Amino acid sequence: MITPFIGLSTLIHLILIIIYRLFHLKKSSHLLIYKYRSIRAFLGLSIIFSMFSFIFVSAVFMLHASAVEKHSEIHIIENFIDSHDGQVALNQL
Amino acid sequence: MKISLLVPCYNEEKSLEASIKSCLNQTRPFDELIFINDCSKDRSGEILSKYSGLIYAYKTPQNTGNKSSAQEYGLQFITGDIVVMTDADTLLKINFVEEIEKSFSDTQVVAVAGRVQSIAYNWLTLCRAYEYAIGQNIHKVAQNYINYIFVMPGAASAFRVETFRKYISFDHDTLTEDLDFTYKLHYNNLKIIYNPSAISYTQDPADLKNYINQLRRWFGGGWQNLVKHYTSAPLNLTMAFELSLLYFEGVIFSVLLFLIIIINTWMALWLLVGYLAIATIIGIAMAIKEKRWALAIAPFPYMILIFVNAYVYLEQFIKEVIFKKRNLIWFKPERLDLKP
Repeated sequence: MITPFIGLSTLIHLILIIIYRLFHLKKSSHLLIYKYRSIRAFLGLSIIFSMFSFIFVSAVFMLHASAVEKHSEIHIIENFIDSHDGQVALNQL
Repeated sequence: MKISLLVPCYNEEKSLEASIKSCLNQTRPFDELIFINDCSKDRSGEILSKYSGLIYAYKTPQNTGNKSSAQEYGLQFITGDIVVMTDADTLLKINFVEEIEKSFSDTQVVAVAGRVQSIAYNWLTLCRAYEYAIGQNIHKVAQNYINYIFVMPGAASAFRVETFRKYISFDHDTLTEDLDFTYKLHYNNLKIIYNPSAISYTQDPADLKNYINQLRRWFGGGWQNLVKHYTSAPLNLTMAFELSLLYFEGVIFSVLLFLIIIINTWMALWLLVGYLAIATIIGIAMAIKEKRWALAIAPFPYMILIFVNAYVYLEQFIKEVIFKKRNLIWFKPERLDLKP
C-alpha cells in the first residue's frame, strides 16, 4: 500500500497508462537523463515544487469552497450571529 | 540460470508447511530453497526438518528480531544467480519461478517485482485485496512504464544475486527493508520491472488491531525511507515525480479529509458519496479484471478504512518526520492457519 487514498495518484497513473498504450510509447529510461547532474537536479526540484503547488492549491481551493458553502459550520455560525444581537448570540453559544 | 529461494521465518507453524509446498510445487522448480529459522519458539523448526533433503534450513545463532536481519544471515548461503525473496506466510503460484525466469531473460533487468494477492478471509482482507488490485493494476503498471517501480513487494520479489551483493546493504535502520532495497537500486539507475504474472498469495491482517499495526509499520517505514533517501529524489526525474505525487497527496489530502468534516459536514458527506461512486466504478473494473467479484462491494467497507489510513499516515508523518521518533520495533501480524 503506497498511499492512504484512491485519489489523485490513481487518476494520474491511469492517465499515464492510457497515454502510453494509446501512443505505443516505449518505457522511459533512466539512462536518457543520466548526464548533466545539475540540470537534472533543477528539473527534479521543479517537478517536486510543481506537484506540491498543484496538490496544495487544489486542497486550499476545496477547503475554501467548503468554508463558503451555505452549509458550512462557519457560515451557519455567522448567520446565527447576524440574525441576533452579536453579544447575546455569543453568550448563547 | 540458477534460481534460489530465500525465506526467513519466525514462529510460522500455521502457514510454513503450505508455504514450503507451494515453493516445491513449481512448473520450473527452484534450484535451491533456503529457509532461515530465526530461532522460532513454535513448531517451525520441526516442520523445516521434515522437508530436509528437499530444502536447506539454517538457524540463526540468536533471534534477530526482524526480517531483514534474517535475510542478511541467509544471503551468505545463496549460490544461485537469481534470488527470490518471499515470506513464510506466502504461497507462490505454480508458475511463479517460470515467470521470474522469463523476466530475467533481459540481461539489463536486475530486479523483478511480482504481484501480491491477498488471501480472502473477511471484510478487512477484502479491503486490502481492493487496495492491492488498484496498486498493481493501475499504480504499478504506470510505474513500470515510466521506469520507477515504487516498491519491490517483500512477499514477491527477485534480484540478481551479484547486483544485490554489490549495491544493496542491510542497514536495519528502517521498518520496510523492501522499500530501502528499491531506493538503492533506483539510486544506481538499475532496471527494475514488474511482472504481473508472477503471483504470490499473502495473508493480510484479519482484525483492526493487526491492520493498524501493519499500517504503522508500512507508513512509518515509508517515512523513514523518504527521510533516508530524499536527497537522491531530485536527481531522478521519475523518482521526483512519483515521490512528490504519492507523499504530497498522502499528507495534504489526509489533513483535508479531517478539516472538511470539521468545517462543512454536509459537504464532506457529499464528497464521500462522490468518492464512493468513483471507488465503486473502480471496484467493478477491478472485480472484472481479477475475476474476484467481491471486489465490486469492497468500496463500501473501504470508506471506513480511508479514515483509519489517513489517521495512521498523519500519525507516522508526525512521529517520524516532525518529531524524528524513529521506531524500529518490528511488527508481526497474527497468522491464520493455511492448509498445506
